[in-house]
Amino acid sequence: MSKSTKRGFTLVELLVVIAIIGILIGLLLPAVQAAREAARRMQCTNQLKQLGLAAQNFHDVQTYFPNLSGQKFLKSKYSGNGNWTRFSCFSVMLPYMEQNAMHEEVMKAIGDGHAPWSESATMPWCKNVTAFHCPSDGNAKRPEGAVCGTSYRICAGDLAKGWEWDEHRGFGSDGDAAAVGVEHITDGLSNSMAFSEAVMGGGNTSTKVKGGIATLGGNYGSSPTSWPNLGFKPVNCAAVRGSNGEFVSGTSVDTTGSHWRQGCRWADANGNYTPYFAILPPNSPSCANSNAEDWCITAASSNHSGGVNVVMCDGSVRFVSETIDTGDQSKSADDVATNKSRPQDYGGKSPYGVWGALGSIAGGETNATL
Amino acid sequence: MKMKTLMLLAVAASAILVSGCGKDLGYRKTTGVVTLDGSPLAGAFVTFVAQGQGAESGAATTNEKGEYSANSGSVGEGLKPGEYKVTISKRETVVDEDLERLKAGEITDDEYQEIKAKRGMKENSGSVGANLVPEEYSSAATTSLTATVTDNPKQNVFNFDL
Repeated sequence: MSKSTKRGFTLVELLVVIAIIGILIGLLLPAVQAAREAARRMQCTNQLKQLGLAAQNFHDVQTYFPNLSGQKFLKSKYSGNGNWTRFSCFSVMLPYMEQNAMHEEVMKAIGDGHAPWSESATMPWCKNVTAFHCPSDGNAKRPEGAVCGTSYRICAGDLAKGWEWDEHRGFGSDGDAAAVGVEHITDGLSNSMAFSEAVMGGGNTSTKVKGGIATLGGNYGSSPTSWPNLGFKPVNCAAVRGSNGEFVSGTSVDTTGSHWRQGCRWADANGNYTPYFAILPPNSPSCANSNAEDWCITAASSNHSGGVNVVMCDGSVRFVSETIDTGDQSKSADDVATNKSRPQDYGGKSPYGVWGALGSIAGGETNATL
Repeated sequence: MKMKTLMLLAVAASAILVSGCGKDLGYRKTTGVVTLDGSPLAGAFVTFVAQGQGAESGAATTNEKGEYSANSGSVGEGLKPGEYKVTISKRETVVDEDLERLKAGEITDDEYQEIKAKRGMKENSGSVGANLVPEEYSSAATTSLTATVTDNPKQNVFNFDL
């Protein structure tokens, strides 16, 4: 028997090779995941840009931008229908996003007196519109037949008061009171935000900060008078921010129903569905008084790491870090406004730093830089 | 032996590569206990209102033991070193009966929206419960509570007995 000269691999050698391959894969995998997220983020950014351009095209035709609520565009035709003020900016921007057929359906449904919360398979707002869904937002797509949502929000400005106060200091206005045109954006179109991303809520059992709405009850402010006049203090929202992107345990989250979650109705202008405020830092908790439908203040948010994309009034898209200067979060609208019953008349600088400055359209902060 | 050393080297190198580099944003853990007449106060809002340079307003809620851990109003976990005025309030929850009926399934969303429209928007948000702690502690203008947050988290324990 001749001794074989062919030497095989020993077990240790094989194990070492496997370990090295394992380490290499371990190094590569995050890179692959990051590349996939980068692609999703790019699509998300493109869609945001399209929204910005659609708003510009809307302005070209109507001479004002789409409103946050009380669409001026609908008023002349449908003001007889009691629900017309509840339709969102997205419900009138469809023709400028190559969605003419959908637009016709929406106009017909509004004309027939349907409300944007009507849940039925025949309602146009019970259809997913891909252009409103950021691919990084895993909750964005809803089952057909349910009222469908959006991963994008319109900027409601940098001051928040009560529910009844619909005239904002931002791009998103109440069209019934004052529609915003380019001439009103005196801070400069490239210095004022139009739309941002905000993820859709994860449903009524979710305790995630992003997309969730904490109900703080009467603890919102700190003065003894009734709540809308308390002067909302955004810092109180930080009280419910726990670790790992969750609310602190015991936080009341609006559990009224999965159909009240953040962003879940693209056609509804109510506070929890289509607007965001440039007050709370991006990716921080959104807060409501007793329930999200009554009145709430929502933060911009995204699943991209470290911040959110926003589109400015000139159509340019920028990335805003979640560590952006948000000024003094213990200040309320009452602290800065000269006329407390009409804080929207306040024309001075935002109390909420660079973020607030980007949110106001006429705050006199023309040099707000990121 | 050589193989083993190589393997160790590979593991060490990958460990260094995989671990990220943390950035200190300057926030320091700030904790404490809130008691009312000696017993723990649960569910209270503790707000740190920044006074002067460096400080950044923050807030916290207390758990059932009265403990809190404050967060900055910005992204930071903890507070930035500096001087703070502290306000503490706890308000009774006001029950929205119509909302309770909706949650219980006695009325539909459509009906709730109608009721809401009838009640008027102003009335909706006008409900606020009575303050369960002395009113003076609720406002930064009247509170006597203060805290000085330092770089050392061990010193940032502030207990408040109301």
